[in-house]
Amino acid sequence: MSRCPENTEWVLYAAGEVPAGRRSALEAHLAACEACRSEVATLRRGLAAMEVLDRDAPVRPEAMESLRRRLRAAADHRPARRPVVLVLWHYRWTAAAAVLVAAVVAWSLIPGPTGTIQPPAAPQATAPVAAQWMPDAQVQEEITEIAAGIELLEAGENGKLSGAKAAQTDNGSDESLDETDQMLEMLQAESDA
Amino acid sequence: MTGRTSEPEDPEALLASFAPRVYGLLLRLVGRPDVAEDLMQETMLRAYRSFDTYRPEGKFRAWIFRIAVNLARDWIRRRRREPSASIEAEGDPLGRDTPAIHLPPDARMDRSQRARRVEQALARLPEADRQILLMRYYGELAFKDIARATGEPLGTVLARAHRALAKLGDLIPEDES
Repeated sequence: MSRCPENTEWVLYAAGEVPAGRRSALEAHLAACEACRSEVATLRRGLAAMEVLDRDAPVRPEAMESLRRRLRAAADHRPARRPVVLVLWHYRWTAAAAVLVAAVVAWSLIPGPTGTIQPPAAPQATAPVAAQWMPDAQVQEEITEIAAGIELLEAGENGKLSGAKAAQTDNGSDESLDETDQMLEMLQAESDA
Repeated sequence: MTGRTSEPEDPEALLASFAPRVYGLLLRLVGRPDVAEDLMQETMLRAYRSFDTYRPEGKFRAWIFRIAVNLARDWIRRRRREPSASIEAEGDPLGRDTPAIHLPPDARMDRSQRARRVEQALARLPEADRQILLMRYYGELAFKDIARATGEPLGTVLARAHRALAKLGDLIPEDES
């Protein structure tokens, strides 16, 4: 006779929850083991004892009505499922920002005229940078416009600086500006030398 | 394990169909019809609130009975902490303080007598053991489903079931089985 199975396995057997592949082995053991037969019989009586209890216990009609009322009230307060369109609309700005970022990244990855993305070449020691880079006419024109704009901006800044300096002089606190002028003069002298 | 073959799709109808069984389980756990009714309704409301979460996964039935068992357990614990409503003061609603009915072995008990005897035997079981048997009987749950619902290892659930079934089995004479 084979070794007796665990009691917990007999619980599964008595309850009909043993896999089919295992059942035949257990039944073969039962045929030869009086102790296990007695064990299974007791467990089956225990399961059968439960059957005398009413499975569907009678619930008072008032309690059932109260339950239905509370469920209906819960249904009224239950958030409805939002359609997909509404969900997308809710996140429209996030989606727009994501598209914008993706577009910028894609633009930066577009290959140049040669068809490949080339890392910037190291500057040649023997040739000046300007000699290596020959922009076309349109780019040259844009560069000229940008340079003119920068000059205008610098002129405006100088004007502001002069105005600010005048205002501070009026207030008798032009010490820091004097120091700046002195430093600029010194740098200029070093550059000339 | 056989389950219910056809369950209503409507949440309200489905939950209402479970009400008698959940009530029966709760009544066996707490022993008071008024409390069992309240807990049954609370169980259904909690289940309803998460209906969409559990329904499609086929865990709904096990989940309902898990909620019910947890609510009953909480109620029993609260009750034990209340001195004015202690079991000793009011008597045990489950009948654990009632002497067991000892009938002669050859006496044929009618159904109500047997039911009373089984209820008393259930009431004397440790709470965790009783929950296993009641979840299986009222919820028609396989032991592995009970283990999943309670979060206990299957071996623990089976050990509890074995102990409880052996005690119940001893109640019934062999010629009645």
